[in-house]
Amino acid sequence: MTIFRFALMRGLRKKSMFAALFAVPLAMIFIRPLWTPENGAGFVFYGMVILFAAFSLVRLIMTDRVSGTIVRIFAAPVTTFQYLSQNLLAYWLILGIQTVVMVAVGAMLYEWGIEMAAQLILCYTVFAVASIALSLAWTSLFRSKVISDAVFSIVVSFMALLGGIFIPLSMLPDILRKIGMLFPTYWFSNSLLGIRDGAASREYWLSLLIMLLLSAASLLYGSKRRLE
Amino acid sequence: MEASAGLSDSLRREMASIKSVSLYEKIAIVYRALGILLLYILWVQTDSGMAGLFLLLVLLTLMLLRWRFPPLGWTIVIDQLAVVGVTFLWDSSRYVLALGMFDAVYLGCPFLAIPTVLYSVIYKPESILYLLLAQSAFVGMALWGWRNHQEEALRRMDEERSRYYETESFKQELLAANVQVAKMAELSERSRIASEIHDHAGHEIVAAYMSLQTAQALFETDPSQAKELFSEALGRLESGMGDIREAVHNLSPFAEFGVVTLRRLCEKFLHCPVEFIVYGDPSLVSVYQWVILEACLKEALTNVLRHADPNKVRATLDITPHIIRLCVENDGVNKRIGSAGLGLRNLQQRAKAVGGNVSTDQTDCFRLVCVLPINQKGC
Repeated sequence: MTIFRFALMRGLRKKSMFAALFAVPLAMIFIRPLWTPENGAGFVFYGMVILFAAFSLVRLIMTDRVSGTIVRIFAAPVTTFQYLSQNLLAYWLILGIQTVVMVAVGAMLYEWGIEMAAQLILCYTVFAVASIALSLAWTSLFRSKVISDAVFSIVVSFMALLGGIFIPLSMLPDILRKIGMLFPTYWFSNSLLGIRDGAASREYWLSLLIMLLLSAASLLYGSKRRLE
Repeated sequence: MEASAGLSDSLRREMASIKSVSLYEKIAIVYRALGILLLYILWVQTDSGMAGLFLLLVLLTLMLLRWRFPPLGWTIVIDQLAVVGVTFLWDSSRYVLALGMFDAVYLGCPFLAIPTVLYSVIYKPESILYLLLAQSAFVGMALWGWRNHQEEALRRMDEERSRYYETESFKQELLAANVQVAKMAELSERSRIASEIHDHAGHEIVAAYMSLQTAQALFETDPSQAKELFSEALGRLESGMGDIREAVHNLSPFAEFGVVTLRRLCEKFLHCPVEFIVYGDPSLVSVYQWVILEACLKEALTNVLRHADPNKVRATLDITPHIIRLCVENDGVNKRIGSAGLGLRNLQQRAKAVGGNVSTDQTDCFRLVCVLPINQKGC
């Protein structure tokens, strides 16, 4: 688990990264209007924080690839599976800890209840998996980090628009909704709606399942391109 | 030397065309992606239910799984079963069975399309589906044929390359063995000479020396005995000299070699005058090195005959304590020689086998230079 340990250390080494991973979400949770049952914008905005945090972490894999470090890593008896799985697990663990801290503070501040907190943690961690997988697939498309970052920001803004982050899903035109269904952000918003509607709702579990399917597809794509 | 130097012309042509080896794979990926995209459009326009979306995502994931792990080709059965299952909820999904048919034929395992065939037989869908299935099977078969052809060409190329490298390696081993045998022969001959001198001349000379010592001691006291011993010693020395002469006579090679051979080669060349100059001590050159130098000179003179019309050829043999350098140069080159021919390549390999090198230069005249290292005696 050497790669896992170093991926964890590397993920938290930079102060800016540490701040983005923990300070921003914690600052968000104390903004009370974001977390009222009527508004609920904080829940979806936090999803975007996860998405960008995942992308920032997965960029480290791209850095390895672009800088040629990956050649040196693979000179050791390390398989692609070991390298990827340990890196991605480390990133997922960082995002998982962030989510647990965030939801725990939120639950204490806004009296969410254990069931809702558990559902939120599950939803955010599954979305973290989808975000990491999507970022991996995305970074595998590019050789330049600058272009990758710029285009990702544009695409994420579309994903957020079609995924019900800025506009509620119910207000989206039918055709845009159907296009949005191809992105994990849609199912993330949908699962949050499921939590709001009631415990163990069909929509909630269905959304998690689709997010996992999208993650599997993204991981399969991202694990091959320009990595071997 | 180029990796393809020993390959036949037909295979070189194959190699040029094989650059597009993965094109059929790319077409297959595009075909599948197009299928998934059409399914999505169909889903948007017809049903838009969750079953259709699930099917779409499952098919996409399985497609990527097979792309990532090619041995999992059998999973197309799961694709088809999923499609057949979803047809009960979303009727239009049956069109995507064509993708299963395509993959089964493309992978060369038509029996993997059994679920599709069974569905077609049992539920008897409309003729457009049969048409789609036939079209997909046709595309799959065309790509399968293409892939097979390319793989066969690759296999043949690998085999030929492997044979070529084996022959090259065998040749190198033979050349190395040749040098080894020459060295062994030299050592064996050296040992035979030592034995010859020790067993015959050596004994006579030692006996003569002892007789002379005794004669010296008796010279004052018994001159007649001393004189007798002196005569005997002279006789023994004469016999020893005779043995040495005989040994040397027996050791002299019948065939000419060395500088004499090279000079004779130059003299026999009637196309134009050849100037042959030797610097250094020829006794430093081993027998196997003379063989290579002779081959180099022959090759250079043959090249002159073939490709040049010179006024004069100049061959210089420099022998220093560490290297031997044979340089053959001529003017009047008619045409420039491109890559090294077979004779020159063989020479290069022979020189390489003994740690030397053969090179050519065509800047102002044609020049062939052979450099061989001189091994210290006993090394």
